[in-house]
Amino acid sequence: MLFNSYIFLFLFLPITLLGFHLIGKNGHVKSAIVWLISASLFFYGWWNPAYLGLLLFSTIFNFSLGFLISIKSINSSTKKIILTTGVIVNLSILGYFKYANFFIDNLNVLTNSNTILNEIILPLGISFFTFQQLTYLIDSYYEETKKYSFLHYCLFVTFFPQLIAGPIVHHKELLPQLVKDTLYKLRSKNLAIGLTIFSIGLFKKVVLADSVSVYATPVFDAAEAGILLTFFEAWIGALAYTFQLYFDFSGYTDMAIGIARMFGIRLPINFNSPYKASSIIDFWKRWHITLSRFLREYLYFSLGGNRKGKIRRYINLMVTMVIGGLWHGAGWTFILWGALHGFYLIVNHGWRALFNKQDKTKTGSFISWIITFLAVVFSWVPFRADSISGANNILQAMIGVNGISLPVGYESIFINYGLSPLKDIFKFNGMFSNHIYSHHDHIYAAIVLIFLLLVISTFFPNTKQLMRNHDKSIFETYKGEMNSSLHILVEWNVTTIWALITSATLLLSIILLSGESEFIYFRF
Amino acid sequence: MYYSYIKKTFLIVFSVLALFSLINFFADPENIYPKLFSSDESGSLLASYSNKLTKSKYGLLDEEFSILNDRERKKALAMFSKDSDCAIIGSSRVKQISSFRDEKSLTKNCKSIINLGVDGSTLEDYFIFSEILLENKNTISTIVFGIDHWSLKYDQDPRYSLLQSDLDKIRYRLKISTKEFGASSHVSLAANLINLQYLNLSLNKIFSENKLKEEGAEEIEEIFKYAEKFDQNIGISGTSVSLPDGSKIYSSEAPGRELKEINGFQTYKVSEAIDGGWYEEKAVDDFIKLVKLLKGKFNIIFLMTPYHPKVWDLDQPIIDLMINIENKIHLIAKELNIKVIGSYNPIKIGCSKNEMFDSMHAKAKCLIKLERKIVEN
Repeated sequence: MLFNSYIFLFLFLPITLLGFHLIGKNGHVKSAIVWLISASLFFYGWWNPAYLGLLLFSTIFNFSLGFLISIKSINSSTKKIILTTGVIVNLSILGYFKYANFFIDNLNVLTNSNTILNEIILPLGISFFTFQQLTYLIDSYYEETKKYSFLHYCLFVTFFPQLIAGPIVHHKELLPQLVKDTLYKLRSKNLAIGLTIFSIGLFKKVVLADSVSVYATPVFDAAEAGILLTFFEAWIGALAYTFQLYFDFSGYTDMAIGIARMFGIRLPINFNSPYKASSIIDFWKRWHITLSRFLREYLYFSLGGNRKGKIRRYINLMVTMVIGGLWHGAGWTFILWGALHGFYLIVNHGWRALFNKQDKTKTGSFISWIITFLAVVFSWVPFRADSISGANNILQAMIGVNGISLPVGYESIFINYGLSPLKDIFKFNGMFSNHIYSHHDHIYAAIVLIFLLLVISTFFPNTKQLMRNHDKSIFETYKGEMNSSLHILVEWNVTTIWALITSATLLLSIILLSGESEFIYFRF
Repeated sequence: MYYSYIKKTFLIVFSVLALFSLINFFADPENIYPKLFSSDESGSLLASYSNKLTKSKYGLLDEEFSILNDRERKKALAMFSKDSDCAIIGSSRVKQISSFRDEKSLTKNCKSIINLGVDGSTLEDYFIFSEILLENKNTISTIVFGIDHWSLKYDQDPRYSLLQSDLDKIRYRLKISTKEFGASSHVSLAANLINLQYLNLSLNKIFSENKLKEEGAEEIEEIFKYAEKFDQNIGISGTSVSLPDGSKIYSSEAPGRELKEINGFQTYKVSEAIDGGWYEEKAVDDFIKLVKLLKGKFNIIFLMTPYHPKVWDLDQPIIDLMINIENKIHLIAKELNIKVIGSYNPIKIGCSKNEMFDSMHAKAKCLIKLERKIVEN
């Protein structure tokens, strides 16, 4: 079930909230938990009930191992065996469902064989709930967890707002909230804040991300079909996808946070205006924050982090980012994306080591921002492309390998103004000569929309900043940028104006919902 | 304080949505919702339309917001037309097929055609128009199914639900469960109440009806206006024309679309195609049941009309899927011993880019070639 579907908005969510309210108001805490778990399982099984078995197995299996590990009478070597078994089983399940076909395909290429696996359907959200439970298991081993009942644990894993596409919630963030009996009561404050955050997320997804997606898809499809893109076509496609992905994923996260908040549960933020980042290191503190936290704490640190010298640090960075790429999907394009970011981080850390002491001027900050933004745009190309050759087609066009094609009439202008020597650098076949968009007006619409989204993502306050006085984060995942006067000016408050704004964003999103579209991160 | 905020927000949202829903439900430009205040005029109106159309010399002008919907007009034709031997059922892609116009199509198989093609036709429309033809006395001996690449799957477009009662009748006749038929149409209809495009149509309808009243059209049949003599290759400015056999001549402005829409086809529902393909076994089984029933009374022909040559050049997954659908249609035809005419592949038919309106609608010049090459599999 999609958050941006009529079934969810008008049936599932109101019924779940109403049931939660009716059960909770009489103080039936256990029944309220069971109600939320049941609703979450229904939500998960809506797409394909066959997936439910795996989710339940994973939950029971990990809870049982965590329980065994926490028994004090069991000696440490047995605990280590239990943990190792848990990690192997979790990663094997993930590996089978997500990577088996990729592995076989590559093996076939290497050995010139033709082994075919039966079609494996990727269970929704498997990457998210596997990682979430691995952290619980590992922390249980290091005695960093408390004992929780199975019902609380089950709700921690299955709680529907975060089940399919995150945020990847750490047990330390969610479980302590779930054990408080006072949680299981609907409160108007939570409902108002949750509704506002949800409406912002829905607007980001339906109005912004889906609108710009129509300009990205044709370019990437054309690249896959081997069409030689022009410089401007490639840039429009790459930029359109850059904003589609951000507004799609951050919109989903806002919706998840908003829905959870309606039930009184606070989820960690996942985005902090990533396109405002002035370095790649900064970018990874702002983009998919809960994933980067997981990768840092459970992978990068395990590999030795920066404790074993510079070279090892850079190797660790690269390994972490490549695995991070693979986490997103079984394909060479994701590996390339991960490697690209690994490379960016190495360069960024190297640069910092050399020039850290110099203060940045405004111009310097601006140049840093541009370089960072362009590096990120380039990296999204392999992330979105279906194949390496498709990515290559777009990247080549973006750096001008196919030449820079200008409007047909411009050749004479070059000659008339004595710019003939420059004439050879350019072609004059038209800026969008492949006619990728069905109508010429679409090109202008694309340019205007991309510019608008650039302004929104770099100058506007993000959801968390808008809600800063009413949704104070209880987590470490959010810091900074709270003092801008613009942010204070537009800060959310319980006023009629904000009720109007929330209504307008909700209305516009609902009306434009007619063609429901999936969230990009569902496939990861 | 918070309670008041929530109350205000919901009040605004639901008031506006309710207003949209009421406008869409009562204006209902596509006639897809049940009528709370039904009139007994509709039967005589259908007869009147059919009579006026079939006896017209050059056809009737298609007023954009006529009192009768596209499907109702074709139902009228199927019910009351008496002199034709062939009925063609399909989508807008067969609407140009005609035995009336100068460039006649299907002449080897049909002497006189009634064209029952409707916009957004889906599998459900095959059942609906078959039922109407079975129910009413007529001279039809051949039914031609114009099969599109989306035709072997249920619920591809909700517009068929205007004639839901005919669908229910044939479902009962064929003993097909309700599970597939219109399973999600109720949800689609409900969702359509707050559809912005539909609201636009509704408002247009309301304003155009007011305009008609102001112009003083006393008799409702006066809305159907005769076309004057015109060049069928050019059309009439501002409106399309329904010819006496139900086929369509686009307005003179329409055929300028040619190349603009071809490139848009590159991504045409590719994701949909990949996500589950374009045919369902259950839908195919039910369609076979229908054809077997019809074969007792009619000669059946399957027809495929070609796409623009540029579309066929695209080397997209969509083309592979179309080829698969075409093969599937040939397999069904072979099983049922049915003739197949045409192909999605313009090269097989010999249609050039100048013989297409856009990526998927062929001009009459192309359609007259359909019988030249009977595709054998």
